[in-house]
Amino acid sequence: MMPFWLPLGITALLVLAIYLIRPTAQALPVASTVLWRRLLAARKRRRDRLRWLLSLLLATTVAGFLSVGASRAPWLQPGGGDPIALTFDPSPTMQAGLPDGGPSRIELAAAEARRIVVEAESGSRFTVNADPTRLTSTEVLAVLSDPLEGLPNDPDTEPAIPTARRVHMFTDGIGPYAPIIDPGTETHTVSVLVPARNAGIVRFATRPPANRAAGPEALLEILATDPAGDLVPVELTVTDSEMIRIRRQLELEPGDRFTALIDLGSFAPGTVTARIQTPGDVFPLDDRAGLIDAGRAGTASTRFPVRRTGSRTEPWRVLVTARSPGSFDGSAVALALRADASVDVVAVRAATGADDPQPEDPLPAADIATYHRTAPAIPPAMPALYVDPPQAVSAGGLSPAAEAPLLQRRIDRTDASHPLLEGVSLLDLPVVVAARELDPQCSALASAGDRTVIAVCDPAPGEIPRSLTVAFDLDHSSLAQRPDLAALIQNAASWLTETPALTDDLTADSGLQDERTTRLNDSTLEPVHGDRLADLDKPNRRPWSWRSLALAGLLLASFEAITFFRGLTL
Amino acid sequence: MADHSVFAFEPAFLARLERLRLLTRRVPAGGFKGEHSASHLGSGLEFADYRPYVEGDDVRHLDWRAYLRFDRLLLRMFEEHGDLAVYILLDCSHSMAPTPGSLGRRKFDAARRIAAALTYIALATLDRVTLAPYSGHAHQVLGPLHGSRQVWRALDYLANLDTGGETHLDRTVREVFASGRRRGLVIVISDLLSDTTEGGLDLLLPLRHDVAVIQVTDHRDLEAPLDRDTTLVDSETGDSLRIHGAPNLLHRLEREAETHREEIRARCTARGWSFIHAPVEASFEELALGALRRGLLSRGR
Repeated sequence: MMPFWLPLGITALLVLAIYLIRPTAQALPVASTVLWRRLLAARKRRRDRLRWLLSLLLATTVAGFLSVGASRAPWLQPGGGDPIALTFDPSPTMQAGLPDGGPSRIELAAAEARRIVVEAESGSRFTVNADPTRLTSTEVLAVLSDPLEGLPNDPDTEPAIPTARRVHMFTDGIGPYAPIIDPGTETHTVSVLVPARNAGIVRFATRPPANRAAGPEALLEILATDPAGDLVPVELTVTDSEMIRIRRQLELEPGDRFTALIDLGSFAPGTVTARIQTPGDVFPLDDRAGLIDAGRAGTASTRFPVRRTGSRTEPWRVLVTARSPGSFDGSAVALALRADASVDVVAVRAATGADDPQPEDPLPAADIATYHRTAPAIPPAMPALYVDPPQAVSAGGLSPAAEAPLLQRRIDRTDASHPLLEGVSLLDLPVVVAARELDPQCSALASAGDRTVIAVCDPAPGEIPRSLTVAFDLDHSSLAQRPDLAALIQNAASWLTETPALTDDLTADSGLQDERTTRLNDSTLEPVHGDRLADLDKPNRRPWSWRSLALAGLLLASFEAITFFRGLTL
Repeated sequence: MADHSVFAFEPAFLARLERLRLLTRRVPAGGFKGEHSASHLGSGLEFADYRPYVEGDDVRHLDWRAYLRFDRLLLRMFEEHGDLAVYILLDCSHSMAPTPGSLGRRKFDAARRIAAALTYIALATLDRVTLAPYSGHAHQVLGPLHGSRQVWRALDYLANLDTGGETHLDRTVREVFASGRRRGLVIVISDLLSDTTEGGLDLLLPLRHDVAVIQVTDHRDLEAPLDRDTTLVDSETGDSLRIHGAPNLLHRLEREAETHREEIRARCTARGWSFIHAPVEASFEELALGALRRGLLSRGR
């Protein structure tokens, strides 16, 4: 056991030895040290010059670095620097595939992205869409293995791409897709446009009659495209609420626009729906369009709003529960739902009573439950739309009607900022409402005095789904004759399915014209050279990374410190 | 103990000294009669020049013959002779004799010899000489001396001087010229190895003396064994300066000394002063030759 003082003693001895053997300088008396001091001062001046040169070198380095940084030289970006961003066009046309079962555009994009990941520098990090999480190549390959599930994105908002070394943007070039990217970021646009046969209704609207004697007429436009340049056979049917009124077989040249004026004077009141069928059509969402109560359109031109359907290629499925199917048919809600191309009423079933729903035959899968003049005892496990007149039972966020008499009032307060009311005007609308209590978790979207007219419930994620309650009688309201009802129903479908609503006209949404005019490349995986995408394809570099700024700042600070303490300046 | 061996001037050397005289560009009027021509014309005996008569001039100096010939009134001018006030400021600081022994005192001995020779020349030409040694020690100023009979007194005074302390030329200048002495020729004999020397020289500038700076150097001051780290100790101030051996350090020191000398020479020249470098290895004849070349001495008689 070594005593504790031994190391201390050895250390002290070592220190003493070092002190004793330290190099000493000889003392030399001289007449004067004036000349020596001048000599040392001269040497110091030389050191100062050297220091000044060093400062100049540092300053030059800083200036050069800043210049290089400003020029955004790509070699400044090491593999471990900012990530490589992979962003995918979320528009529904990316889901389109070849009629022979080939890969869809999004699958092609994922394959191309995997190639980029594999060929990227070792140690590179990746971000996918607007998610700032940095992924390794292994992780991002896992995400890309199932692009439909692994590439979540909000189709109705332009994603803000995190700061990245470079951005690879995969798009089919159809529709306005412009993610928010830092200006100057090196961006590569990869077109995954697979030419495919498609035909769609790009416009279906009523317009004022040519003369008062005739009824209103509808303008219908159909566009078709085919990569092979073959004729596109299209079967067009136009139905009103009772029967098929028009059925035509068309053969359209690729790029041709078929236009038809339809006299609605002989049509039954209610919804008018146009449908087309095309063999090999890869994009069925644009195959149907509708008009609400076209016969009452009068002289007003109605532009039928169609929401963006996000990444879905199919309409939302709506399951309707009503007191009876007959009571639902012909109602304002039924007309609106059937005219909406973005929703599809998959079934109308009768309510079974107060304990509805009861087990019964398997119902078709649905995205939205609509209750017409009835309400379930237990809220459904899906978004719900309650269309309840004042006499209805408790539904959504409203309690049963109180004993107080019904009153006719005008809507005097709305939450205009709510997406449900985008493109919808409800103020001054006369409604008959009852006094019903609002659930604390819900809020009034529109109210007339102290009575809630429309209630919305937007619970926290993970709780019960959203619901919307319309607490006045739509069928006896002038709203049914206005386009606002269609907009409200479509906004409701968007909002209930957590898709922000956006009203737009049919032509801007379908992207069919864009697809027709998009210039195709020989190689489907080359960047698109269309007019809109040409600018994005120019070589461009990211402006600065924080490392660049930090290094420049460090060099600048060193230079400033030297110049400050040495009294030098550039 | 006086060391007169320093001044063992041979008769032939003294004879050569007697043929020299100190030169100055301006000698103030007044004082005793000497052998120096004044920079202005006065009432001497040697005719110098004519100048036009102006009202107020002494009519006795009018040249009437010239008036008859040229019909102009001209005044005859004569050279006026006076003595020269010579102030010899001798550096007696420790740096003049940093080490004991004759070798260590070579600068001081050479400086005293120069001072003695200049004193001899000045007294031989009837100039008035003031000897003012300066150092950290108190020294009594000798003079003004006048007449060749004062030579031995001056030599004895110089022989009894010793070195010590720091250089204080500025203090000496203030003390010597505080009482408003006559303007004349100030001769500073020093090794100029002090930071205060330049300040002292600057004090002479407003006094409008003629100044001659004689730098006495010894090459031994530039020699040092620098084979290892060395702490240089200043003989005057005791300050230490640690240096590390470096190639060509002594060579650079020589160049620095030369630079230092040239700076002082340039400053003296800019002021109209004389600067004479007097290495101890040089003989007085070489020194005198340099002094002749720089206008401090001239051949007289």
